[in-house]
Amino acid sequence: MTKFATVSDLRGSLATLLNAELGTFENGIKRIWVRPPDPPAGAAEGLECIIQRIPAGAVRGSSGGQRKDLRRWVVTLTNYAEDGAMATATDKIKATYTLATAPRYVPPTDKNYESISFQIFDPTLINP
Amino acid sequence: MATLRWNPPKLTTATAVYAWGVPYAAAQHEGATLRNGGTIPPRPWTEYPLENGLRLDQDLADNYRRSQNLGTAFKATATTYNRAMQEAIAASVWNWPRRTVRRSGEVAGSPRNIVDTGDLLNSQKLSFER
Repeated sequence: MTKFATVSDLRGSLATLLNAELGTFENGIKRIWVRPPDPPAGAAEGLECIIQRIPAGAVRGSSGGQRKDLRRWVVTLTNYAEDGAMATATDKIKATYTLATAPRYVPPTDKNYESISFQIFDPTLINP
Repeated sequence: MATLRWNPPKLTTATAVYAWGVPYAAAQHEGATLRNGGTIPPRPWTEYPLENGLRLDQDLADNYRRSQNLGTAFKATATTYNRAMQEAIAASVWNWPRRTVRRSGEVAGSPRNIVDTGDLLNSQKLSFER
């Protein structure tokens, strides 16, 4: 049932999946980050992927005294480049992961960059 | 053989559509990264009423008991939600990371409402579809 044991596993999966679309930070590493802490400051360019370190989701009772954690990893893409990278990345995420809710898209305006948030469904069992 | 005879009600209105006619509505609702380097936090006024006691299922049941008409009950419940979202926009419940001088001249702290010029609030429209 569990696909990602840790947030690092999810980060690795997304980094591989979106390797061609992600921009880079000023130090040259791919622009994918687990927050907190905040990502490095620097020029806003390319496609950025931010993963919320603590997943959302409710916990329910399960059989045998176990608990089912209905984890939802929150992943947000922000497109500083305003090219087609975010559309391609969105298609890849939809094709690869189970999403708990419809993605939430924020179109670009003269004030803000384009962004989209996903909730990747990744339930797991918790043993007491 | 058992036979079920049921004449389901003909629903002429089955969908309520809520829309906000200002270009920045999605950024205000979901949060956004600004071109000036700042960020704005999400303020999901569509979820706030549902997470703070509004029970649309109970409201629909109450409205149906009163009207005995599903269409009338549905429209009344959709209108209740419409009003609840407007109240959420106007409520000073939204955390904000800094003080701001609004276009209206008001100095807004935290928590604050989402009403500056009132354009977002006034742009909210409810319509019905089949």
